[in-house]
Amino acid sequence: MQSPQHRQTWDLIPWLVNGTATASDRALAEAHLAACADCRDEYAFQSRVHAGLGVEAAVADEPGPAFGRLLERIEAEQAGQAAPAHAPRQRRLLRALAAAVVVQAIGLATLGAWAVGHRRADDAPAYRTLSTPAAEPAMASLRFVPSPELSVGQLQRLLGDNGLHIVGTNEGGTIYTLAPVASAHTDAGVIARLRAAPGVLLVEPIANPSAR
Amino acid sequence: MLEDGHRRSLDRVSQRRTDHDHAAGSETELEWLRAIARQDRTAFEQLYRSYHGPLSRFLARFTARRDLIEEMVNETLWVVWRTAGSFRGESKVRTWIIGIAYRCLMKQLRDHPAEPTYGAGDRDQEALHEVAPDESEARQAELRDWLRHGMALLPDEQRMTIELAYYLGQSCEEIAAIMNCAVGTVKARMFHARLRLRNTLPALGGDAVPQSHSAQA
Repeated sequence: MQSPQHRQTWDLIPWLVNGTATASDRALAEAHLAACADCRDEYAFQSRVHAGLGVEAAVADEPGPAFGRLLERIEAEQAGQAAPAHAPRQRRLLRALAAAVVVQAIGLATLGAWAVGHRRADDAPAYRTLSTPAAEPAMASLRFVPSPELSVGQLQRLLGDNGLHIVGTNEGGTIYTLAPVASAHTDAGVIARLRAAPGVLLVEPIANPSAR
Repeated sequence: MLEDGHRRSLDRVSQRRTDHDHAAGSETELEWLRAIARQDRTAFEQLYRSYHGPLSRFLARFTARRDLIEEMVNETLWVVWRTAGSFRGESKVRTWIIGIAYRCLMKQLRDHPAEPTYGAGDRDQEALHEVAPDESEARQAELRDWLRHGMALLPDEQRMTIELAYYLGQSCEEIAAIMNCAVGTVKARMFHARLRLRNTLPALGGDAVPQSHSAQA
């Protein structure tokens, strides 16, 4: 029968090999490795894997041109933000539709709460309009960055399917603050679904570690 | 008592990690990120140049298409530029950025499942071997080829776990943060990946593994 030390050491071997095991774990494993040929063999095997994977696989291009292209993208976006009077009609339409998403989500939440009769008045979901600056809204649970290709319709479906609504946005309208419509927090499943959805670049929980 | 060879190996790995941490300049990266949050383009360029190579090489292990690699690197660092102000120090800057790159990569793998080929980026290195063959380099190429076949048989999540641990040197907890899963899930993925490698690599030439590598790492 295998000892607990054997199983612990076996599990620790990758982290010994890549040098991230804690000092106490290292001490435990070293003591067992000295007495266990199987673990020494596995350590040697994983060391070979580590050595093989550690070899640089490809030559990276010079970063200058790629950085230039990224800067062009950033400057184009900032130019759009700095000159709202010249902003394309499509951008204004997008913002108007985003605001409509907020109104729709709030309306649905209120209607749903009224229909089931379980919600007390002081539990109504807090929200902010897109034009409200300053601190994060009380119910804010997620920071959300869609790709420019994500359409308003796709955004509406994504938020509706996951029980979320928009409670804030940055000046450029590129980063949204989301909150759950009905519950007190956003569970990890919602975060995973959002991250897995096409057209989503970043989803991060706000202030609530249990949501991760 | 641990054999001298293994102890030296452990010490060397530990030292390498320590050196790496210092070299990575976590504090410097944090300062860059704070400056980027203030829209400081000089800091952004420094961070970009610091990460362009490692991210490109990491992503090249999953696709040979340089246009896709640049797209993913730029997408990652674009998100960094836009959200630097939201970084709250819950992880290292490096882990946070790798997490963003990981999500870009997973989307790429999901959206274009037929295109990426594991280890395809190694072609550059193979071309170098053809130009200047050398005994130790030939051994490395053999080992890498041997591993490429074994790694290609792993499910994406297991392969990614091994790469994050062995190529990017991330800890179990850091990998959990990057992959947005529990530490126990990382341990389970690592466990099953090791079993699969153990079972598949001997059949694919494990006996021919260069013995000189056994004491390395």
